[in-house]
Amino acid sequence: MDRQAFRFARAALIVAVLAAAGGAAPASAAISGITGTTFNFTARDGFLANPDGSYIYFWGLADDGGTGEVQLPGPTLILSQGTMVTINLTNMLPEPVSLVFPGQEGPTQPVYDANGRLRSLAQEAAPSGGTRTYTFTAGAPGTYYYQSGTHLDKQIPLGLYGAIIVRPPIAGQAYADAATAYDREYLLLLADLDHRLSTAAESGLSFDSTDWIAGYWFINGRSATDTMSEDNVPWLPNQPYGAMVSMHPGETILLRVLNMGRDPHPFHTHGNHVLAVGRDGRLLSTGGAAGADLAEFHFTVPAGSGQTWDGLFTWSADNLGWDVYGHAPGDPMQVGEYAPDHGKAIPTQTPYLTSLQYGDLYSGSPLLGQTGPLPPDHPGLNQTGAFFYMWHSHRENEMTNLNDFPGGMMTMLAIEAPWVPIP
Amino acid sequence: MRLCHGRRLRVLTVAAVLTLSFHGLSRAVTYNLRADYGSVTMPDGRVIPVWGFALGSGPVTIPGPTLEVPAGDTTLVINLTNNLAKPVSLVVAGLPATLSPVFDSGTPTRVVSFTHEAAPAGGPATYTFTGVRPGTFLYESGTDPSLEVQMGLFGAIVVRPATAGRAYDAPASAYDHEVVMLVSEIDPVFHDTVAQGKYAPEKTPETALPGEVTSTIDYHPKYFLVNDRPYTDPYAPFAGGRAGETTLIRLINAGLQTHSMELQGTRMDVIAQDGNLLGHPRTGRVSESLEAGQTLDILIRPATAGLYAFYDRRLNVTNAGAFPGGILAFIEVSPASGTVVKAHVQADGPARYCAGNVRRLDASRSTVLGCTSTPTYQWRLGGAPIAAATGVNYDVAQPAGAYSYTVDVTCPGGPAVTDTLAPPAVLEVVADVAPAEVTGLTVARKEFGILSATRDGLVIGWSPAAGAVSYIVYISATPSGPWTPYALGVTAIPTVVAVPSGTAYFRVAAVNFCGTVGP
Amino acid sequence: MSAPMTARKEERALMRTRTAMTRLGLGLFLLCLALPGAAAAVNQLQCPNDIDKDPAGDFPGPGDIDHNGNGVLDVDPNAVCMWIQGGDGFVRMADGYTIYMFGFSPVPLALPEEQAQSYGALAANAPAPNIFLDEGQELYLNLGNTGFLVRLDVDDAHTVHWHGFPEQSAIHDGVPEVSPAPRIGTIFTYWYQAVRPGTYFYHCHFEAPEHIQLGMIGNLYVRPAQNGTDKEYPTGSGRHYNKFAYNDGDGRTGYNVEAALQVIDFDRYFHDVFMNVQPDPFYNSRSSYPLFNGRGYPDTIDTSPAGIENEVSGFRQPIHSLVEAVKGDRILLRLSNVSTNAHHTVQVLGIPMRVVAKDAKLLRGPTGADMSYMANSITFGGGEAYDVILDTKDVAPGTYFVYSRNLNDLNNYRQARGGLMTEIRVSAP
Repeated sequence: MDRQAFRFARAALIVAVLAAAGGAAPASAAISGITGTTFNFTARDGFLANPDGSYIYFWGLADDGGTGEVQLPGPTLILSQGTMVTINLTNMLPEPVSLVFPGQEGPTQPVYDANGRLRSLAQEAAPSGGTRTYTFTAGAPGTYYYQSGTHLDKQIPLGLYGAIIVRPPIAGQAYADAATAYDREYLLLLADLDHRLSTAAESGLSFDSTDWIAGYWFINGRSATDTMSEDNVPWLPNQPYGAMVSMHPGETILLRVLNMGRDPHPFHTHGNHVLAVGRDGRLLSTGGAAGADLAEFHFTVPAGSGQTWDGLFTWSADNLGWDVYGHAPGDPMQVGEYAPDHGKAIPTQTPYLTSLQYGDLYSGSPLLGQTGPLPPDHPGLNQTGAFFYMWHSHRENEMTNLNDFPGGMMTMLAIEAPWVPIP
Repeated sequence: MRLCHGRRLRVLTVAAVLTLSFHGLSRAVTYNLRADYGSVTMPDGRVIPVWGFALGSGPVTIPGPTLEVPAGDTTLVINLTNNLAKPVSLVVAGLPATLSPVFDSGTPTRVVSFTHEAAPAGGPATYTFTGVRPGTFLYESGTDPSLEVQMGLFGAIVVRPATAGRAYDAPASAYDHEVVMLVSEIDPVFHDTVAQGKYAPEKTPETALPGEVTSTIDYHPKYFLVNDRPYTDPYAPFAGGRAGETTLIRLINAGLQTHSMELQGTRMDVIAQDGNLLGHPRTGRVSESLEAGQTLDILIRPATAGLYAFYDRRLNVTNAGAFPGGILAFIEVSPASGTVVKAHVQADGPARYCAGNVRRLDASRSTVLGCTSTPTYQWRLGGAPIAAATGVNYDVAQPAGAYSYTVDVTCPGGPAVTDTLAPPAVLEVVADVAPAEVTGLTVARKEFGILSATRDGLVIGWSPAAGAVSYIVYISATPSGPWTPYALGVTAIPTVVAVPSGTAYFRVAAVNFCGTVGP
Repeated sequence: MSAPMTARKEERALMRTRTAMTRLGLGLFLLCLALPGAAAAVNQLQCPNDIDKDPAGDFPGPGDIDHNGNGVLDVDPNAVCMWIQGGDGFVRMADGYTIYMFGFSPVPLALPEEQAQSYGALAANAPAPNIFLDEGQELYLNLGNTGFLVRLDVDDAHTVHWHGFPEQSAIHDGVPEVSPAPRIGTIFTYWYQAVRPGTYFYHCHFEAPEHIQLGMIGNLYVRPAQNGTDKEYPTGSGRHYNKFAYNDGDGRTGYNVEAALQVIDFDRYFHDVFMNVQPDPFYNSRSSYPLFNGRGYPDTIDTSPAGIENEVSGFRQPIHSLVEAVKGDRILLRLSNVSTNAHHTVQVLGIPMRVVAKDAKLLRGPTGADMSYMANSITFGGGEAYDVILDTKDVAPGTYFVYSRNLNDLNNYRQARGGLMTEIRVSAP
């Protein structure tokens, strides 16, 4: 328990501090990434900082036009539909690497060695300084990815992948269809890693990938509870992307969930269902003007390997049966409030403080935007009275860092009261 | 419209093997299958003992023969004979059949077969499916399936609708070309265990003898196949017709695990699952899960000529860890017009093999489109033409060494179009030199595991022997033999074996690439 | 939980089950000494119909509330009250192995609260008590914490997470990191308004990978308001239903027979080392016992009323999974997977199957598109649920099988011919 409390404190402290300083929550509602038409990447190795105290060897990509730090996942490309994209790749790794762009049109260009043996699904950049240029046209809007096309079972899990977001001409929508409009959007890139592969690669040894057993799990390159830290925190120089999700009641957020791991990851969103509107960069539609008429609800998004899911998520305590603001029947309505429950009290009483354990992110009050009494030893991390919801792989074993819980493929959704600003 | 089947996965020429009978207005198609022992060789040379299906008296194949039910037939009859020492049966999920399960006599009683069995050493048994509907199906043994399906007793069924060129009756299932891709998995240790008679499900861990395995709970596949083999070079891609045409991929998973099939460069429309046309096709997929036992019918329409990589995004793209391999395939799309010739070659076994064997190179899956005459072939070694080597196959019988073969495939019609195989098919013939003697043998007893899993083991160590690819541990009750194998195919040094009863002596011998056992 | 890590790795290898049994004896001894004192702390059932035995008499009292918002505390006949205790115990696997677990056990509402601790001792059930509700009902779910007789060093709380509950609040979502959770000897009450029918499930979310692996899971579904109406489907078929999986409007989810089949994988190694006060071996956790409703085949089809017995804690596996139908019936299978370490492909052989819902939502698009589909199997990871309807109209009477097509699941650890499988017996009309 002590260790667990410490972990949550480490991430959630930021919530408290920022909230106290001016109401800012840690999440950024925009997806961090890079835009443009020409990108200069360098493939190199580095170490991931894990909340269990370990440093995990990985292969990743650095944005030469940015910090130049190698990162997991690789830089997120945010592209406008139809953009001609050029990626200049420099390879500082000890073996040839390449990039492929599943979901973008065009045949594979396999490369063979002198013995007629397949080596790569794309032209490679030679080791130790070789370069190669890749071009593609950003096709239909949606969520995509790039990954290594060389020695796939080694180079992809080691970290040579990243997300691609292709935006339609209309801002604020996932697709051309108006039903995919959103107030905020978040990227949740899921991945897994067998640390034995990492250790072998660091030592230049081979690893039989049919013996794969993942021991680490990531969202946006980070393991819980680092997932809840902000983007670009200085203590995670190689893992720039946070995965904390924030919203107000009544808002619609777009979740771009993509699985770059080897294993399927059932991603469970506490709080409500996700309405999936897109798969692999294709609107779930019978076509034409039908809109997202094949959208489907999931309380656990079945993210298979190599799949991308675009989903909408809303929350307004609809039909909860009590007023989350604690209004009296005659009080004015709150923005986004579910009207039929206005003024209804929570039907249960909370027992004495001493009889319960209180999670570090509990505010002391069952009401949204309010705080209440907490035991003296409680860290009081939830100063804004947010409702927190755990979002995680429901293959629960993946909520660990090797053998430590909490960790792995887990983050939080914070639903902030309407008066609490979210950047 | 041609059926461009994969590898040696043979869609049967209907007339040659089936008998048509008439039940009133509905016709029946009958196949005679045989369950038997066989073996397949992995690209790294490992020979896997299998149980499989064969047609009539033909050879056992992995997967079994693809059974086609022609348009108009609504009844499928399969007569099964059984040369195995265990009963087998045949079930097809999704096709109507009356099941007669077989239970054991234990308390409580357990099902041992989902339907009636063909008895060991003969059988026979007949399996009748009436009212069959168009689609792609998987047949497999329904007897002790965790054992028998794993051992290879499975195959594809293709039921055709009334209209040629469609997967189903619906116009939306129309296609120009068709491929069958049946995915499966091999746990080589389990296959060896079964072949050595050490799979003993009737026993408990307490009553099992050393080396015996009592359940399949520890399944650990190392090889992943598309049709009859994992990816290996030389490689012949699946034929996807011309740019702009539609190819139907009948995707079947006979394995025990989920695979995530990712197609690069173009998208997939999933139109049917388990032989059921979907009310709403799942269009535009880049990566789609293919579950254990599942079939998916997929349409692709690549706009551009070229190769399209299609692989398991779960990265089972190795042969026991060696990339490339496993579930990795290419689909070749040819230019939209004109005469197309593209040479492709595959071999009937690993490209690295032992001297004294013959390796057959097969150019029959070369792409030849728009050619009005019969293509011709000229085989070359190191670029130089080989005299009289002008057949579609060429048999290589070379001494130890490395050899680079190509073939010119020519459409002789005017004007002639020729393509030369690239990259070449490189064969490495390995000399059979007996491995050195094993020295430095050590034996120590140790307790392994904890709690309920605890058991004693013997740790046997030795110095690696030159030329060895694996080792055999022998046991004897006396220092002078007779020696009987105690652990086969050992690759890890030291190795752990079960503690035998009484006094035992051990000897270790090295095995070379060609299977020759050293002193 | 984070157990003290004193044993060195080599020492751990020498641990034996007897260690745990010794501890169990100690635990029973300490229980007699300690638990009455614990029960004296705040321990308050909250139920509407004065089942809470509040001192004010029948009405009103703590737990009685103003449901309709008219300012008067009232008794709602639509409210359901349940009481479950979280604790530890043992269950028997189909190969005869008695395995340690955490679980929920049912408690009769009439039980005096001070007896809860002893009543819940070593009473863990696999799976947890069923929660089956009708649309519109409210549920007062009282969760008590018995503590751990075999692991006295553990002071974990428990929670109930109604998995998939739409538009949930934080306090009743059952995530201990963000809400209250009952300490040992106390009770916390969850309240739900069941307005959205479907197949859900519930589990403890306290250190979820551990408590779920150890067995704290149960079936939970909400029947639709459409139940009780007569619908013919398809129209003109003469097939009438008055029970439905969802409010489908036209009867397409009508059924005659239903069964909830919940999947979990018990990792024997994990349970054993946990019982012996070792760190949780999450890495390489594998399924030793793939289970439907806490049992492997053929225990899944054992219909004896008391369920499966084990020598330590008695009858703690009350739910069989045998499905019995008459030819012509439609069978609703409510399938859920709460495995912590595996996906499963559950296949039905011989009976046509239509997948009608996923994750408690009818497979119907926003504008009414029918997204249901025919299939031989569904595949789900932990945290997913499916509703499928099997139609026996055209099948011969006989025995059919629901089983994992991940065929290595058909074992009870090292015993073959078992595991994740049950039977459907179709009798002649």
